[in-house]
Amino acid sequence: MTDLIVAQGLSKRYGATLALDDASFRVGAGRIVGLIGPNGAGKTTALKAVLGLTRFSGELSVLGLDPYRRRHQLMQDVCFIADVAVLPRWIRVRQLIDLVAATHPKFRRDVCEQFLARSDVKRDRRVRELSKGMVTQLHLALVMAIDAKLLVLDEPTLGLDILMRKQFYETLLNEYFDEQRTILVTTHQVEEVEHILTDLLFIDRGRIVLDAAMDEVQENYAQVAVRPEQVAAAKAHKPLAERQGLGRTHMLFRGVDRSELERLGDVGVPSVADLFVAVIQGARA
Amino acid sequence: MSRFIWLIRREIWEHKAIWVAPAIVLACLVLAFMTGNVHLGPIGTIDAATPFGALPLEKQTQLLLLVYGGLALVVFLVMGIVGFFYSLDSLYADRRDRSVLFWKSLPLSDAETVLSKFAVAVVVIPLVATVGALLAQLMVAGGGAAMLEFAGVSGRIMWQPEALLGGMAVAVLWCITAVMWYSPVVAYLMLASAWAPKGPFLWAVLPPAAIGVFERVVLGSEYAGNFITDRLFGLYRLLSPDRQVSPDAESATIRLSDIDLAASLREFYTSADLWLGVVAAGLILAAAIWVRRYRDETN
Repeated sequence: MTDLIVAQGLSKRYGATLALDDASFRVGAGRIVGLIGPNGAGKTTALKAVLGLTRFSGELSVLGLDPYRRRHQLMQDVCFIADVAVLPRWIRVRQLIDLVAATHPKFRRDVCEQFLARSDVKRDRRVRELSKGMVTQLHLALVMAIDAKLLVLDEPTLGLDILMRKQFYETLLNEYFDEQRTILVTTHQVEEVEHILTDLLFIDRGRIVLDAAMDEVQENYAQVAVRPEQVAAAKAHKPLAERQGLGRTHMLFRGVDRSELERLGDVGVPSVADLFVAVIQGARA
Repeated sequence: MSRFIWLIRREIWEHKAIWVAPAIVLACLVLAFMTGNVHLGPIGTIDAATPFGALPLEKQTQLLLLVYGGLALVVFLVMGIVGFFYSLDSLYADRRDRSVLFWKSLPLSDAETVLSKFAVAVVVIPLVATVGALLAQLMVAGGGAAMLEFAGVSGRIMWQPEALLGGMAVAVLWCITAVMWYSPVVAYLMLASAWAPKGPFLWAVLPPAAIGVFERVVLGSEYAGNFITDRLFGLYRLLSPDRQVSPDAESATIRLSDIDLAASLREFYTSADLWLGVVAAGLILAAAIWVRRYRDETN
């Protein structure tokens, strides 16, 4: 597996705050990586570094290039959607498509038109006249028509309703993603992406606190609904987190033998959100 | 290259003032003719018994040249204002609405982007201005001729080649000279536009104003102040005061010292100021590209 992104000791300081603190990670080709962290954890800074939009210290290579120095070359193979607000508001849909077609060598107009045909986006409308959902559909249509190697999404569904959010990720997964492509996504709505992710990167206070493939996570972590009489025995296994449910105590374990856990209660796969909370709390403790 | 043309088209799509402003000026001219409310500068009102007809042909030609030149000047002033605000907005508007993140997601270099915007300011806007000025001159020639005919005088004089073609040549030469003279100002405004965290107008205007005031108050000298004023208004040497006209319509003794455009152009094109300015424009533009490239687009 080749690595599209290799970050080694990435740091970035804004005044007194350290937005990235010696962060190292790799993103392999053909993966869908969720970069997940609380507000101000350094997610956006990390993405900006990857996209060549910000200066940083440490080593970073994206598709073999230094993104900060070679941004415009990199953009031939990298697409990004920062969030729904960044399409220029004055431009008409037709003009926007013409412009991307004229400036991006890997843009396929027919693919873009095909995606747009399914939406209500009218070609002679200005972006400012479109609803938030339509702007996202337009942006997604543009991006999906570009034959890029890496797609970076920074809170792409911010401000959209549930239907739109679901549709966004479905389209992305079913019609865009394949082994040739890699997606790096940050979002607050973890539960919406957890089914499509292949890898997790948890970031907190500028540090990478978890870097694991989804199947590793499922192997190593387990969520157990512990029966009341087993709580004391369960605590002996040092759960990462616990919370009270209906008559059961839910505990999160790492690296505990599965047969052992099954004696304590019903074993399940932890949700990314639960895992996230546990890992972040553990990292801060 | 075609990419560059597309980038320029983008600017024209975005900044409608580039063609709306001259269109409004021309529309006002048409309106003025239709309402018959035309005063052709030093010629006086055309409909009444005008002293204009009584003048020798040579004087008439010179006066018309002034009229045509004046028209061009009006159009250029309007386009100058358009160019000022265009330059000031060029590298700031997309940062304000964050669409800069979209533009930076396209495989375009920042040099291409900045140069396309500079090209709009120093090629497209002046070109539109020149075409607008020539159209205005033709309209006044046509309208003026019609009005003279209507008043029973021959309108042929309005089409006098020395006056009309002369006026057009003056317009083109003025425009080219003005663009070269103001190119460092354009580059400076674009630099301010690329750099300003907020309100590029203040960031562009305050520093030179502050330097001028500081120098006068603290050092008591006016080198910087004069330098800035000269760059802003030095172009009017093209319309030098000693070559001014003082029309005296009443007595029909219009004294016209010769409008020696050739001499003032010569003066301009041999002055170090002009060429140093062009070099400065290049350097400031490079700085604007650098700022655009490396400015951190956080938030």
